[in-house]
Amino acid sequence: MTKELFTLEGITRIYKRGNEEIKGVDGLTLKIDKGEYISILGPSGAGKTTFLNMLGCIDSPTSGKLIFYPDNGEMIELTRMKENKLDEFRRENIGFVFADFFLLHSLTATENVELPLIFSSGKKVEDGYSKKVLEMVGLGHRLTHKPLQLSGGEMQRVAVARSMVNQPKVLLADEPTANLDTGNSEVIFNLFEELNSMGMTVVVATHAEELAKRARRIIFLQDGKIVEDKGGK
Amino acid sequence: MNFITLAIKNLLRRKIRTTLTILSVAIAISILFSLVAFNRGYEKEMKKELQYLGYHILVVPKGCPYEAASLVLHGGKFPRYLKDEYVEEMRAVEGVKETARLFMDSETDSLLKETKIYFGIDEDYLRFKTRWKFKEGGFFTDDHSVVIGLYVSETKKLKLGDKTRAFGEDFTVSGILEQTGDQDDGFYFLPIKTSTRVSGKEGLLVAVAIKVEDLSRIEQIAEKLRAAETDMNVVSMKEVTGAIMGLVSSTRVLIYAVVLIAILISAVGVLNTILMSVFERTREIGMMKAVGSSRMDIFRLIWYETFIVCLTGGLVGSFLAVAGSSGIEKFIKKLMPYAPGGQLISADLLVIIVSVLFAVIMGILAGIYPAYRASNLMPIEAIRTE
Repeated sequence: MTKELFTLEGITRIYKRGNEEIKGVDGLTLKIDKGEYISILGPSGAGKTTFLNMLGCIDSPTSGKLIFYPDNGEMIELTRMKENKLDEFRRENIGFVFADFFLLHSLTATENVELPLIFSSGKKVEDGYSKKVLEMVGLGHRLTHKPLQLSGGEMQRVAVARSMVNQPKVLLADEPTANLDTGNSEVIFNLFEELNSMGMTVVVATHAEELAKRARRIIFLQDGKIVEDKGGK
Repeated sequence: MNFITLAIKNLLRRKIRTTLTILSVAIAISILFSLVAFNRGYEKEMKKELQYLGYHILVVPKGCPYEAASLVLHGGKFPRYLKDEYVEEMRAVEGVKETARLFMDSETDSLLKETKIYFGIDEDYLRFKTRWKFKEGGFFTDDHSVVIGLYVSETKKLKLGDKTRAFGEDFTVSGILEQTGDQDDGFYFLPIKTSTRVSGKEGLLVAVAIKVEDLSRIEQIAEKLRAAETDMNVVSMKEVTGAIMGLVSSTRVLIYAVVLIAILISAVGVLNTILMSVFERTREIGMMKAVGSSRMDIFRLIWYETFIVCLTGGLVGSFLAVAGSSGIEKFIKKLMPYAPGGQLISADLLVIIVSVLFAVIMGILAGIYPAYRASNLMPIEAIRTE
């Protein structure tokens, strides 16, 4: 079984703003192995979010190849996949955590976590699994609370639990601590470490250098290009 | 949690907006319900009345025969009259079994805003009204007797032997009819001679009712009657029924046009509300796509929301219409004193099913565009939306 999870070959994403063309990422080429814990660092506009969006297939590159290696030894070229297949890919393999949490305020913590499970052909998980995941992130006492009854740190933990409930292979976190204080940021990164230690590949885009250093591999981006890949091969 | 629960919770997030949208659907559906139920009830009662009449042919003055026939059925003031002496000529026509003189006039109390309809008849009329039964008393005892319908007795609190005034003269109640279920319940029946005299129309009639010996020869007999006199119209009840039902059908088209407009306005309202909610939830939809929902999932979710709004509106509207049907009926009867008696709003199960079905179809159609819009959002663009 290959230990590679993703291969990126010359991934470029160009956005058009009026007549101007902006390169979100520019010719990214790298490999990501299964079970890695990677931090993406760089100034605003460096292409961190675009990079995560490419990996998570919620945006498609203008050019380049993105290959995914599932456990069955196959090689899937995600850049050639149709949209409905990409939905399925995301559902089965990717967990997303956003800076803005994106929780539905009308739902309880448990219901927010259950959300990915109600979509068609969502993974079948045991009853009460979402509660277990919430307990795992330390929110066993907040199951029936709605987002507005939770602190920022707790909301982000609910978002992390939601990203985990489908048991994805990769967790992609985009500035997960941007709206949190130091203490809560610490808690979130501890969670990432814990998930990584359980075998999940974790890729975190952040501005927080101290927290980023906890990853085994740090990729520095600038103007959409990789300027340094510490710990990478 | 499942899709339906999620859709309901999404709708409950904006309670006022959802309630108002449901209300708009409910109003449209209650209009549909009331008009369809009224149309059905009116048609049913009209048919029933025509069946109970007992006439085979009605001879009315020259002019629009259907207007005259309709006035005979429901009461009112006649613009033209027949001469009493024609009755003997009609009796002489071969095939005519029975004849009955009919006179009619009305008196409106402008203060109380009510109209009393007086029907002048004689004993011959009883041979046509074989279904009549007297609750109290009997037929006329003298030329100042009055027989009243049950509705008149109950609303005017008139009992046997009581006096009532018509055209400035006193009449004594000699009989109260049992409920007939038609317009007779609301009439005052006076001896024909007295009623023509007090109306200043002595020797005149508004119609002559005719029974024939052989129903299969009705058209031939009608032709013979037409040949007898030139200033009268001879209409068979078959023709009257056909003409009135034709009018009812034309009204139905108008009613459905009104209903369609009401539903269309409501559907646009629903579409607008759901579309607005899709725009407001663009980022949320982006998040759902990011966590693995497919286009179809988003389509279903938005579609369910529209469907729930319309179904609830349909049920609420039907309930409101059923609950308010007796009030609406009273209102209609006040507006249309010559409308058929009996139950004018026929709120049966079929009407309820049709109304709710309309709401459901409205939900299905109104939900398509917002659901399509939402399902086509690109996750990255949706998440980036401010």
